[in-house]
Amino acid sequence: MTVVQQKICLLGEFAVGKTSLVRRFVEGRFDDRYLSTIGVKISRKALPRPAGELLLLIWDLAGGDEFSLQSSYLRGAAGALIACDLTRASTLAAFDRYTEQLWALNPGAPVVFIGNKVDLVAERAITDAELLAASQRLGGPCVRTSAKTGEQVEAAFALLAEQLEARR
Amino acid sequence: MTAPTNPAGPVDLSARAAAAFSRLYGLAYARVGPDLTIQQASPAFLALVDQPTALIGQPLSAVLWEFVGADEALRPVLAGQSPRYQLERVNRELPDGQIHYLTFWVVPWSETQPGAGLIVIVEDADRFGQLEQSLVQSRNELHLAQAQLLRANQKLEQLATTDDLTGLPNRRYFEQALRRELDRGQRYRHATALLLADVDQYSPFRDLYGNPLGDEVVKLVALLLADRLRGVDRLARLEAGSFALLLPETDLPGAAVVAERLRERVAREAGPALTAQRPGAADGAQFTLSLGVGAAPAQAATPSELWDVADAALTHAKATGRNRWSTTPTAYVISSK
Ligand SMILES: Nc1nc2c(ncn2[C@@H]2O[C@H](COP(=O)(O)OP(=O)(O)O)[C@@H](O)[C@H]2O)c(=O)[nH]1
Ligand SMILES: [Mg+2]
Repeated sequence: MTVVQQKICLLGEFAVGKTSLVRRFVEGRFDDRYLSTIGVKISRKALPRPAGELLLLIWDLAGGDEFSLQSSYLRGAAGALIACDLTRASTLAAFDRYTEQLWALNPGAPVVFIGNKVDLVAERAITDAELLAASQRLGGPCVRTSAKTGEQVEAAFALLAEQLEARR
Repeated sequence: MTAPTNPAGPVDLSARAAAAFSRLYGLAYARVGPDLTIQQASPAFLALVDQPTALIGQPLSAVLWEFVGADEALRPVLAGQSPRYQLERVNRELPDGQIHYLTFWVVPWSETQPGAGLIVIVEDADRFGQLEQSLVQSRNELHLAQAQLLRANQKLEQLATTDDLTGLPNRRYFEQALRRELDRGQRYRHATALLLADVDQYSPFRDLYGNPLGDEVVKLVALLLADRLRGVDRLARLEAGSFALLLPETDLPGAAVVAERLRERVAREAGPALTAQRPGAADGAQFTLSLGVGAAPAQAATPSELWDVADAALTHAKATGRNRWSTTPTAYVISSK
C-alpha cells in the first residue's frame, strides 16, 4: 500500500475556529475556551483513501496578524482550507488575502472554503449566498461547518483530499 | 575539550561550534547529508522525535513532520545560495506536558564547502513564546469583545423598534416609517393611506379574563391583520389592542377596501380562533375591530395631520357603533354600515 504525506494549511482570521476544526477532525472533540494560536501547530491524520493511505499534515496557523504570514509556513503546502466565522462578516473579506498568499507560493494549490460556526443560527452575519459568491469568485468549493457539533467537518477535509488526489 | 567524532569527514568551525553548544546548553541539533537524510543527532534532538532509535539514514522529513514539503526550500541553503531556512514558533507538546514554541534553524554544515550538508538546530523559545501568546490572546479577546458589543447594540436597536408580544414594529418605528413614506409620496406624487385599528372592548375583556388571555387575543388579531399584506405595507402594534397600518401608494377608496376586508376577517375568525387555541378559557367570545382611515395628500399634508385625521375617523367609528370603519367626518364622510 502506498502512503502519501501531504502538507495542508488552515487559514483564516483569528478565532474563526481553525484550531477547533483541527481538534474536531483529529481528536473528535470540541473545547469552548479560546486559546489564541501563535506560530503554527502541526497535527497528523491518516485518511484511508481508495488509492491508498493519505497522511495529512495539517498546519494550523495563527491568523489575523497585521503581519503577513511567514512564507515558511505556507511553502510546500499541497492545499488549504480557508475559513471564516459565519457570525463575523469581516472574516469573509479576508478570503482574498489568504488565497493570494497561498497561491503566491503554491500556484494553483486546491482550496476549500469553510463557513464555520453554522450552529450559531441566531448570530448569523454571513448568508449562504455571500459565502457561495466569495468562494466561486476565488474558484473553490465551500462547506458550512460546525466544529462544535461536528457538522460537515469530515466532509470539508475529505473534499480537500479529493482535490489533492485529482491534482497528483 | 575534544570535538565529537564526525564520520562524514573533517569538522570545520560551524560543526565544532554546534557540538560545543550542544554540550554546554543541551542544544538539539542534527546533521543532515546532501540527500537530506539524518547523519548524526544530539541527545536533545532525539528527545524531539517519535522514534529516536531508527533515526540515522532517515529522510529529515520522515523524522520531523515540520519538514514535509520543505525540500524545495532547503535545497538553496544546501547549495549555498541562501544563508538559512527558518521556521519559527512551532507549537509542540513535549513530554513535560507543556506547549513549547520551537524555532527550527537550518544552516549549511560547512561554510567553505557548499553541498556538504546541513545542520538543523532546534531552539526552545519557550518564555518568549508564552509572553507573545498572552499578548496576542489579550489583543484578540479585545477584538472579539468589540464585535460582541456591536452585535449587542444592533440587537438593542431592534428591541427598541419592536413590540415584544407580537414581534411587530412598535409605535416609535412606525412613526419613522410614516414620515419617510409621506416624504417619498410627496416627491413622487403618490397617495399614502393610514389605518388605525382598535380591538373593540379590549380593556373590559382583559380586565375580565386577565392579561395572558388578553395577550393571546392581541397576537391572534396581529396575525390576521398581517396576513396577505403587500410587502410594502407596514403594520405596527401601538399599545394594548391598537394597531396601525401604513399603505403606500394607496388612496382613500383603496384604503377603505382594505379596512372592510380586515374588519370582516377579524369579526369572522378571531373569536373562533381563540376558542380553538384555548378551549374553555373564554368559549364563544367574539372580537371585532373599529377602524379609522385617512389618506394623504387628499386629507392631510404632514404625518401628524394624517394621524389626526385617521384618529378622528376611528373615534367616529367607535361612536357610531363599533365593528366598522370610517373616514373622518370633517372630510367627505364615507363609512361602512
Ligand atoms: N459555537 C461555535 N463555536 C466555535 C466553533 N468553532 C470554534 N468555536 C469557538 O470559537 C473560538 C475560537 O476558536 P479557535 O478554534 O481557537 O479559532 P482560531 O483562532 O481560528 O484557531 C473558541 O472559543 C471556540 O470554542 C463552532 O463551530 N461553533
Ligand atoms: Mg487557533
